[in-house]
Amino acid sequence: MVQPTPDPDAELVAGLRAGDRDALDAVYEAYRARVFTFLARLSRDRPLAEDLMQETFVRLARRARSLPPETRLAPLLFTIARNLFVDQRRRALLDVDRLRDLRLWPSRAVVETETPFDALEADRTRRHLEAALGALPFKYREALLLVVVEGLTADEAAVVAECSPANLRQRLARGRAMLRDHLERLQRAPRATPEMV
Amino acid sequence: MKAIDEHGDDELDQALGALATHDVGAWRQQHALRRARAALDAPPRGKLGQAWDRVLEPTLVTAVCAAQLAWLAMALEGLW
Repeated sequence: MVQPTPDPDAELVAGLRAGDRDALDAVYEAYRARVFTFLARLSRDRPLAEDLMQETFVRLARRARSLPPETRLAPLLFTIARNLFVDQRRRALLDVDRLRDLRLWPSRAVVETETPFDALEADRTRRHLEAALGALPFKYREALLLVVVEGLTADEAAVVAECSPANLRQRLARGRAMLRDHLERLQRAPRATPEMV
Repeated sequence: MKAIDEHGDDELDQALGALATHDVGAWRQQHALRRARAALDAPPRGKLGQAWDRVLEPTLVTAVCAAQLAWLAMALEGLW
């Protein structure tokens, strides 16, 4: 007889609901880097990602005692992080990324652009991938990050991204196509000057 | 962990999934954890505090913004 797999989040959520610091520490240790990396790739702004990561866990701690027992932590944390970023973006009226999505700003040149992690990424292909990912419009970048990089299901990612699962799947397909296109252009450009944005 | 969409591009998805995870510095790690712990230990907000957060403050901000827009519209109307 097959035993049901215990939900790894259940114990942590129970601890959070009880106000247990050890549970908070464990959640923080397990998800801090993932949330930070998600925010950094979403925002392409390391200092902002650091601030929003911090705020994400503060928000989680504030609502810890009222979490439903069946809460899944990854979708919850990515939802908080994503909403914080979207709120911040709304406040920044002249956010370049937003203007680019509205086609009021030239597209990020698909060259070896500076990403927050260029210094850390030695591998050229990965740097191309980071740059191409950073060049995608927000909604496609978000869908790819949630599903392909962070491993959420399309349904979970749809909740985080506040769209229908069908819409999320469309964004994934379109995002993949755009990413492939960007990568091909990157690989065709042997040398290029970094962009000024 | 991976639950890739069934219509995915395997090669591309593998490359994306293999991207490195990054982390904040040690000072920031501790600072964020201290703030989160303080938030966990803080007594829950009362009903008045919750009402302020959810209703009163947004209503007040909306009213002030609307009043400013109305004032601006009247000022412009006066100019023209």
